[in-house]
Amino acid sequence: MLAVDGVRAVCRFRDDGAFVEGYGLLPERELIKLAHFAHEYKRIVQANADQLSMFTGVSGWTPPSGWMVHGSKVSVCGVANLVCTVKNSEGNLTEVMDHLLEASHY
Amino acid sequence: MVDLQRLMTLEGAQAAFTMNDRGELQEHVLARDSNLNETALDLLAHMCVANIAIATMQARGWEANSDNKGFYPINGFTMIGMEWSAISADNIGVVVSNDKADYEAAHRMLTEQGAAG
Amino acid sequence: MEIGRCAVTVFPDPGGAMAFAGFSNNHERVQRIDVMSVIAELANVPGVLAAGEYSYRGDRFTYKGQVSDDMARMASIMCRATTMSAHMQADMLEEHCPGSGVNPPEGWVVHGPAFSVCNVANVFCFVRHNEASVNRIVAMMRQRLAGASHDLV
Repeated sequence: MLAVDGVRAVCRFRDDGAFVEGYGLLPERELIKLAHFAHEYKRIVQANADQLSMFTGVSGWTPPSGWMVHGSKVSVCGVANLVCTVKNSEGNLTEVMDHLLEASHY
Repeated sequence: MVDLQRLMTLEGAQAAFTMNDRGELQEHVLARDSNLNETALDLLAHMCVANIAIATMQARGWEANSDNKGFYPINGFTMIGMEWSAISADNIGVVVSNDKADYEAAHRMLTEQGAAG
Repeated sequence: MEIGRCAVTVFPDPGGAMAFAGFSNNHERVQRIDVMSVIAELANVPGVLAAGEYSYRGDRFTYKGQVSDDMARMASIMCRATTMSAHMQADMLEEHCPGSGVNPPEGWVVHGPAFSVCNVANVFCFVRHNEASVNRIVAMMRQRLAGASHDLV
């Protein structure tokens, strides 16, 4: 994932949120925090998708495949149990999400 | 004008604050013995706005699917922490100790202050 | 089930196993018994529309009160989502302000025009403002659910 343009850091976490591995331009302490955030954020996105599906009766929202949070300079992308940070000026989020999706199947 | 000092008269009050629609802290008052600080209050203010937004979405969805009305629009959100609770409404928040918390009085005062502001 | 009828309902999980089969140990089962009595107590308070409990995993819920099964399911999904969010937020606040006294969060309250939703641990209660005291409900929930485990969040 670090070979993908704009990707600064990437982490993998277990279903219970435990940090598995992380690489990139962040100290390990922050990689662990990133994994922890991604785990919780994934659950919140899942919960919100469940509610959207429940309220609207429209299918196709759940389970969510992934999420992106767009910051002014950096974005955070998550797919399954993978999360990465991307520098907006250097990366293409579509490309990053494609790679995350592929990597999540490994 | 919101009177934060009046909110601090609530029993067990540790902090009172105002925030904008984005959740950014505008004004605040902290009790001398509070463990909180300005950074924590700013984050707390963002949480209040986020939670009211989520609860509003939920109330909207609920009322669209139920005959039980009376949830929408959301007037306030309270986070009950381990030692204290943060009660928020109308872009105003107050933090009170759990052991002295009067949620109804706090919510009433916040609503009054919101109407006055 | 018709609205207006009181019920205690245990739903099977999506895999078809009955809810009680989902408990992993005696501790959880003991907790469950306590929680059921809290729900029954809450549901008997005048002004309480419904009270219920959900699993943090989201695979089952139980309730008692004057709402339909579908609405109780909806309520449990909404409450679980907010509780998960509150835990994430409390973790973040703890990170920024260690020892501030928020973590772990005990619960939350949403105030609507006519109803409030009170949630402590994984138990929720829908309250009519003009008929019941939110203070009393929250105090009862905090007292009865004190020490509830957050391990399963």
